Amino acid sequence: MDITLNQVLILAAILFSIGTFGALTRKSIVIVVMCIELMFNAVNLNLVAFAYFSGLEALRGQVFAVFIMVVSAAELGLCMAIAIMLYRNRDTIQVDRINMMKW
Amino acid sequence: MVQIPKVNYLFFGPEALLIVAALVLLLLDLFFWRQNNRRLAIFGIFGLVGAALMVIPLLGVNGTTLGTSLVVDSFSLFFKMLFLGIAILVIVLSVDYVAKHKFAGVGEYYTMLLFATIGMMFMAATTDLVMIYIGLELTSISCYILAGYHKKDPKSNEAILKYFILGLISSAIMLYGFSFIYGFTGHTELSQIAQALTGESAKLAVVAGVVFALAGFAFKVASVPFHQWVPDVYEGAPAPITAFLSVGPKAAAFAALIRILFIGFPVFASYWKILFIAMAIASMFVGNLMAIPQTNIKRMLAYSSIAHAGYILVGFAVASNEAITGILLYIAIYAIMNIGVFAIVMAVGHGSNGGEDLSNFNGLSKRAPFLAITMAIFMIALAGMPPTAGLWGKFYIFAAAVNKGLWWLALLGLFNSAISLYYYVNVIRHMYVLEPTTEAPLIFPVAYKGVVWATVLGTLIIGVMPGPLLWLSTISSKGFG
Repeated sequence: MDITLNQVLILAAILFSIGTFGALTRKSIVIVVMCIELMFNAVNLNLVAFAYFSGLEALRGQVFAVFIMVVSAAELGLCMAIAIMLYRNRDTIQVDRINMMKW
Repeated sequence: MVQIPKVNYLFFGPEALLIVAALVLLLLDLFFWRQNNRRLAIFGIFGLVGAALMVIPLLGVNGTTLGTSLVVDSFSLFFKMLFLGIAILVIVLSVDYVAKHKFAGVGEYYTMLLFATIGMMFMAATTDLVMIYIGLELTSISCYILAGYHKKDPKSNEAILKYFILGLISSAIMLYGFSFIYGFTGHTELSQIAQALTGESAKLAVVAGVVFALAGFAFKVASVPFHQWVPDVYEGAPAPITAFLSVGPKAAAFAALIRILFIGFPVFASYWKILFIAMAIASMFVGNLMAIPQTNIKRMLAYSSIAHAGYILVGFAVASNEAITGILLYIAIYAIMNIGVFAIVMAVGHGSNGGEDLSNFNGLSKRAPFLAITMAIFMIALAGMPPTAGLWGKFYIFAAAVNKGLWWLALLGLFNSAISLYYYVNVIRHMYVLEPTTEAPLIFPVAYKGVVWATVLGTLIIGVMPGPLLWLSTISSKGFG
């Protein structure tokens, strides 16, 4: 059985939804950012699938996906730095305990 | 046979020079001027001035290079000059702030500012979704780092965390939209996307993609309902960075949004106009009403900046050429006014040990008459009253709305300006009516005074004769709308 574009798009949509749900409900910064990475990977999957199945300017979608990977790697590095800084100053990396400022 | 496209190196001269300047600054910090705040700042300013000089030979040029990823036209040059001006003023403001607060990593601070400026310049100067994304992320990542530069201050830590997490989620949503736009049109270049869309009925998937992308941009321009990060980040970030965030990345996101909507998706105008009407009304009301009870001046300015984003979004809802001229005018005027306001906030904070409460402004007219009178001028300008520049920004956007039959939207805008007068005049009341807690005159660095002079003169001169700036925005907005 061949994989069709629709199947890949549905998989990506499911991944994106899981990522969004996790990012909104999880408490630890590290897990929140892992969930956001899941959202980025859903996007990458979308782009690569579109490029592969359409054949039109195929390279462009794949290059876009590579760019996104590089940028999200940089963001992951920043995430670790923030987590360490927070742990030093506040002794926690639970997002719901970082609530000094409201409204 | 691979064809190597012809590259016009002059076209990305300003960006290239700025990239080199930023990297050299980092190396200078590492090897020669170890943490020498003043020297590094002056080097950064030289880099920015050099980039501005590189823009001059491009004036009046129309063209693209590196495929279509870098566009040189009056629109992009307008924004490049604006961003370079903003960055120069912010660096001037930063020098004494960095020295007073003893930031670790002085070189990185200025390097990040330069990189954010480069990202903003790319965002305004490209019609390719990939490049827009790269520019956006370069700006955002630099801004995340800058927002958390008070490493020991829990408020600043909280600011960077909220900005970072929400920023990542919004870019993921935006990218999901981009992937649908690419997938169902087959292109990432905006004019080719527009071509692929003509002759067909609106594809649902592309509409969904545009909505996702708009959600991402609404976050970057701080519009309701994606505004929750704004007050926290503005309050927690170092003051010069708050000034930068409120005018720089926001203006860049508006520039990219104009390109995306008016080059890529004029077909869907009837759909996105409705979205913008809703966003504009919500941003104006939420921004103005929430600003009233604030006691922290930076937080109040954050809500006021949400309201100003609302006024600019009225221009998007109108979507005529006139409205885009108004948007450009508004962005430039708002940048001048807001940097001036933050210069005064920093001067007051400098004299009162970092105090950013409204109560620090009590009796300012006795302690520092110059700051009090200029702050009063800026407050009147932000409310959009004559004889200041603030009037013209609002005037042209609302006039465009009336001409397009959206008079009720213009009326709501005017009503909101009246609401905003309440909290702006409240600051004047604090300065002139209330008694100061201490009679000692306020001492602050001369750099702040210079920036205040420059911006207040700009506000008043544009207020008296808006002609030149209006002419610039008119030629820059040619072809849009």
